[in-house]
Amino acid sequence: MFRGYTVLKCEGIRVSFGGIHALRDVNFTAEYGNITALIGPNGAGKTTLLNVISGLISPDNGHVYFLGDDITDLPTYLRGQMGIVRTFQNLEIFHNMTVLENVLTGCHRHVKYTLLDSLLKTPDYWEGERFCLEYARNALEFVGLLDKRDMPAQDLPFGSQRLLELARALVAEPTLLLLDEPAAGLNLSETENLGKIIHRIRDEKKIPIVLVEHDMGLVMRLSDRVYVLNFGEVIAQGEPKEVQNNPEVIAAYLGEEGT
Amino acid sequence: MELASYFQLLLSGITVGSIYGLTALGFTIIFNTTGIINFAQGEFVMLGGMLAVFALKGFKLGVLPSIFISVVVTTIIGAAIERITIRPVRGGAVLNLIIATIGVSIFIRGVIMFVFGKDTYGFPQFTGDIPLTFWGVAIMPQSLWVIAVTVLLLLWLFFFFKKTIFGKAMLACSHDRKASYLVGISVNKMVLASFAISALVGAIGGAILTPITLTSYDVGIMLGLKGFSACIIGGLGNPFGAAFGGIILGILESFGAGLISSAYKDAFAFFILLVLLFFRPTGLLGLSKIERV
Amino acid sequence: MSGFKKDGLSVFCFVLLLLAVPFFLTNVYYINTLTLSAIHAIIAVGLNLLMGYAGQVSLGHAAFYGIAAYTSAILTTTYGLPIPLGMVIGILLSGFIAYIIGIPTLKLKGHYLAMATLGFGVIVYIFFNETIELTGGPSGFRGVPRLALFGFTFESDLSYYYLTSLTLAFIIVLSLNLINSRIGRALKAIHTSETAAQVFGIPIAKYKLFVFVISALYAGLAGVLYVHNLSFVAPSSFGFNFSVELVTMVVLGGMARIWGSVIGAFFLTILPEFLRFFENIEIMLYGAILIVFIIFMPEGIAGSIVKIFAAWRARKSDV
Repeated sequence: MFRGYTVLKCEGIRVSFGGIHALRDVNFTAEYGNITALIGPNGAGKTTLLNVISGLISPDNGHVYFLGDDITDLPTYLRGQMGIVRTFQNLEIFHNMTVLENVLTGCHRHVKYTLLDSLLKTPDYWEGERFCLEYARNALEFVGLLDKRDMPAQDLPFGSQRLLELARALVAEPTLLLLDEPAAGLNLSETENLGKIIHRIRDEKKIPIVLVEHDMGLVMRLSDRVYVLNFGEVIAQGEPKEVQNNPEVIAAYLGEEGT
Repeated sequence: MELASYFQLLLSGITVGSIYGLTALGFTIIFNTTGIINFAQGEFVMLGGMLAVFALKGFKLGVLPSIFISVVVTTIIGAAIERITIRPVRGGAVLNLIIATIGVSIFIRGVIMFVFGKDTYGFPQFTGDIPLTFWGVAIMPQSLWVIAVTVLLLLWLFFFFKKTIFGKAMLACSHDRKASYLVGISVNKMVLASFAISALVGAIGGAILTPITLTSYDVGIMLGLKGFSACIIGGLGNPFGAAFGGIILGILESFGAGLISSAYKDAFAFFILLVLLFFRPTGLLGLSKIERV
Repeated sequence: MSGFKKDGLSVFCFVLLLLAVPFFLTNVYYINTLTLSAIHAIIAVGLNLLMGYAGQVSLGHAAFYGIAAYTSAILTTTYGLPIPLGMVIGILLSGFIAYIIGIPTLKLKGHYLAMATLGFGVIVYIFFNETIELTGGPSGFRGVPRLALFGFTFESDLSYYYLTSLTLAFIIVLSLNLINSRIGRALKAIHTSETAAQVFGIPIAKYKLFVFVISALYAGLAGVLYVHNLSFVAPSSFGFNFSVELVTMVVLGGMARIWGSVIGAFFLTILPEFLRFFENIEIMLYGAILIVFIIFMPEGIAGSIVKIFAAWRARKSDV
């Protein structure tokens, strides 16, 4: 795997809900070693595209390729087992568990001990749990939540819950990490912190990232490539600087501000 | 078997099926407005019959006044249930909601059993019990009343949901709760109304059927189950499907009991439910709005 | 203390308690009540795995209890099969039927399973009542041999008490082990957010089916213990009311708390002994408990104890 290798390719994705065309003929790629941002005004279809990539929605038309394989019809949990992991705009942490348990759950795909191992508490079980625990601690340390590991997840402040989702995603050692508005609701310092962490994910862990975000500063600082969606169509793509100066993009955003 | 007997089975199927349809409609109204399956729906039907018996025998009122009172009281109970037990749990886990409606259903049943015991009760048919006969078929006049009242109720509901502001507001709620809220529709009021209307519809159904099938503290469970099966037959969430499903179920059950086995009559609804869930959970008409996991 | 050690300690204390009780309560009637409580607790623990962890409701668990009971009764009495074989077949049949029902229903949302199990429970009840040649109908099936394993017959009530309470302890250990594993975490995840669970590679429908079958197997185990104790079965023990009682035990004790189900089961089994007019208010009481607990104390008795204890510990450390 080398930098620039196409990890994800979406071809001709079309999604409609009732009469609304959420996505029209969207082509999108993400490469290894890159942070690919997906931006656009509200309702442009960004989360819908993420849902298609993670398998929560089936496209009416088009294909999704992951590392060369057609995964268009693959159910979400199988994509999860392949390492396609995401965070959620509206936070889907497991509020009936502690911080640590949340992150341990993310390790599910790595650990293979069986039901019998669990029931009889075999050495395989202990080995698997030790492995999970180590990974979980590392992930929590990476995002800075290690000291809060025994807290009930729902007691964490909002900003920390976002970091928890990130830690949970990291522990799965994703082959593709989808971040759905990870900075939404964060204040300035939290956003900066988040930005640093995302950068480290790309550079230290070498995980390809697809980033959906509204915070333009964050997007421009972090991304290697940017796709702009408007009304379900890709209206621009390229390096951050290019896209920033693209008149169509500016019009799309201004149009949103005008209304 | 002669043609007349088939017709007899058909008719009794349609009669009972009408009530299944009304029960199913009650499920549908609440489901469409709230997304919940109200396990106590069958108990509304039971209350319609039992409370009418109580008014009749306890207060020596006439048949129609008793039914009127029982329907009014059941409607109030329906609204009270929403306010007291459903609203506190509404935002939480689906599981808790299910348990809440189950708890309500059990509690109502328990109270009725405590007060009335396990006996079966009935009251006279509206216009006497001399069957009308033609072409070898005997029809109980009450059957005609059941079908007539059901049709009237369906027409009223249709008018209510399509033509009145309140009804349209409830429909809006079912399509998009947040949007409805944003245009000023009080979602809480709509939910309350949905419970009240479902209770009303269920109670009427229960009351008009009692002269034919009798009633007891226990009838709610099977009625609820059959009403739900009817919903699935017609496609959950579809009111026409609910009514249609009820009639179909009633007819299938009647023919099954008459031709195959009457001991397993109650089992038919369940078998149909399972078969549908296996092969076609969106209903025979495929018009439901369920989500798959 | 680690979770594993804590669990081990609590099971150990529980077993000690169970073994000690007959020395204080010598009346055999009380012993039999406790035996029945333990049998109910086995079902309740299984049902809790389904409700508290996988987040699904079954309104027909009495049916799985009854299927295993009747199957073992009929096989060992009418057909003279050895008791262990009859029991195993009974339990497996319950599990198998749960598997068949679970496949279509668990793919859909919560209330489908509730309704399907409600209907299923009714069907089974009707079946027990109607197939008179096989089951003896409403008056029941008699003459079931007393439980005997490896040549030892559990003739005395006391020996049966020890058998069932130790079986319960074993079931508790098994369930605790199940919960404290990646499988348990997956189940808790499914309960809270199926979307997120899927994203992390958890196959939701498969896990739900798995738990449903497990809970049916537990109920089956309880059923065979029941029938070979009483030597008699009747359909009335396996009706809708009992299914409701089971759900109430789980809610009362605390969902997603193994010990909660044990508490709930013992409480609701022993309670009727103290309330002579219980039969009249039984149904009303279950309904009231369900409503009150789900609104005000959804974590049940066990959960409330844990919360109070945690609050007390937090206050102690502040001082």
